[in-house]
Amino acid sequence: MEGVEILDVSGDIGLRVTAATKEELFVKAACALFSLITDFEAIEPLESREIALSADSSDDLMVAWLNELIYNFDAFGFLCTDVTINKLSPKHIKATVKGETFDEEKHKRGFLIKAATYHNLKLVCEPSFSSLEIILDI
Amino acid sequence: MTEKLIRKDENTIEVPIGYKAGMRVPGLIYLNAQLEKFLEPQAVAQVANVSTLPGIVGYSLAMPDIHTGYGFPIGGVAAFDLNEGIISPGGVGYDINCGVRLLRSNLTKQEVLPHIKDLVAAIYANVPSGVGSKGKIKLTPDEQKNVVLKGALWALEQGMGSDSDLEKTESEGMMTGVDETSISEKAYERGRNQMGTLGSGNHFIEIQYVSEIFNEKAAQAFGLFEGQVTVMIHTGSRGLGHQVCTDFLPIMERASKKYGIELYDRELACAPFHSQEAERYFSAMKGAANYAWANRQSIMHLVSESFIAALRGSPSSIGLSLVYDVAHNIAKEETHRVGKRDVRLIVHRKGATRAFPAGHPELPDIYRAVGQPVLIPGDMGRASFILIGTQDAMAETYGSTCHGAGRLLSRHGAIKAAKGRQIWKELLDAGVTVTSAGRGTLAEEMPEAYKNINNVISVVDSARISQKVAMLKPIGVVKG
Repeated sequence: MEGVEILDVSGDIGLRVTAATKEELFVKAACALFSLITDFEAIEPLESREIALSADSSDDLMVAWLNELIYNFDAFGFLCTDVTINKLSPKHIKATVKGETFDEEKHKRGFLIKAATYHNLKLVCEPSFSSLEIILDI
Repeated sequence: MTEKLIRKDENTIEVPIGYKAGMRVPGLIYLNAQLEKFLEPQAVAQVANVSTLPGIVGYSLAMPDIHTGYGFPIGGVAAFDLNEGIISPGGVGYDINCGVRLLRSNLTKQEVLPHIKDLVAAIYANVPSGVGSKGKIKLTPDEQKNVVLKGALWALEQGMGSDSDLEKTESEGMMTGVDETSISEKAYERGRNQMGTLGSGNHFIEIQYVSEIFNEKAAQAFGLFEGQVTVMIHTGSRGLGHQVCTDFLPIMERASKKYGIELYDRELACAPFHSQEAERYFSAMKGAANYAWANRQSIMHLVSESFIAALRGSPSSIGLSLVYDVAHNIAKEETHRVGKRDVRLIVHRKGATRAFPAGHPELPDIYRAVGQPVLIPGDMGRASFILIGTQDAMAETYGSTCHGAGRLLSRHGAIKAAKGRQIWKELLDAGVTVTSAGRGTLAEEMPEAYKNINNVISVVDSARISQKVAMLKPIGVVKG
């Protein structure tokens, strides 16, 4: 996936994501997450869910965003392939996510991700460049 | 930074006060020269960071399987005064009450080997594992409340196990004082379909045999003999526990600010033990711990059924019964000797195992004369160990010891190293039949991704914070 790099960390796995805008960074981070969980290309946008979250800071919002997607997958098997950001401010996000329910016949099994962590978290949001480094607990 | 560490003896290294700013007590890492080569500077920094937390008593400790974690290092042990101290989700981890359960059987390796393929296949079919798997046991909201309140007892009430299983489980498989409303709806939703499931990552079910006995008296008390088939189950509280940790990290971070606790790492977010935030977290953590005990109890039942089906034997001829069940990611209120006084402390064990000695009042009658069984899984190609708790552990480590081999390669590094190789075939050639749900899991978890368990065990045994009883070697493995 363009603009996504896997970071080597002992025991777990990290992601480095770069994007032109903050909105794109949130979209790419979500896609990168699901590319670790399964074969991303095989996910079809068959159903949609609305996500609205608030957090204390931009860093927290990114962690909360990925954890919300992890929760949606772990509780309901929801695999996300398409994200539309409807509203994004430093402490709030509203998004429509499209995807489908995990089917072991169709979807490859990748990493079981327990959580997105604050460990060595680096979020940079400049006017023309955004980047993220985040460690996921496996 | 590592030049400032002080080697105290062949098994311990001190992280002196001043190694990092804000340290209240020194750090102490159990490590011999051989394992010191693998010591990560960031893990040492984490030992130092833990020592900055209010109310820490004695040392910020780490076991020889230390590696970098979130907030606390993996292998970290720290005890805090109940009045002056804190509780921190970072000292427990995301997988609350990840732990190990050991079953023994009446069967020998020779009797099981001809059926090993069927047995591994039966366990794999009976115990859902891997990404996206759902358990066969569906929990209604009311049942879930019973799970978090009753732990292993809930599974017994469903007909999964016998009464004597409880005394052979740490905390009798149930921590009391759970307010079920402290666990979020999201956590309950994640836990609803995951009872009786293994998960993925380093979790496994392993069919093993007793390859060597080091302590005949203890082995006898635990019902073990050479050549005997045993089963080891390694899993935890699944999505329910992960969500509890995720939910409470921001709550605890706000609490840290509110109570003026300076944090050197966000994942050390914590709250004073008697604060409302800490009480809510501790309650939710205990509920998640109970879910984990119910999960391992349920899996034991599913494993028993698999043995009966694959070996076409009767329950009494197979004779699967519980040896013990330990938690290795948990915080517990315990009594320990500090100076000349017995005091109540909140002991965090994150990737560390309780190791109480003979005579300890919390041990069941059957094991009180020898000490608590300590269960240490190794990698799937080498060996696992049973040890016993000791008085030295009570005196030095708040009754704690190591929890495993500790990783050597990153997951990504292991996948790279395994490229072009057939790990399942290599293991089969070495006498271990393996099945895995995830395609990548075997590569991530291959034996060379881990340190040699023998080195870790030799440190805890030589430092006498637990003593070897028996070695177990794998013949069949189910991975998530």
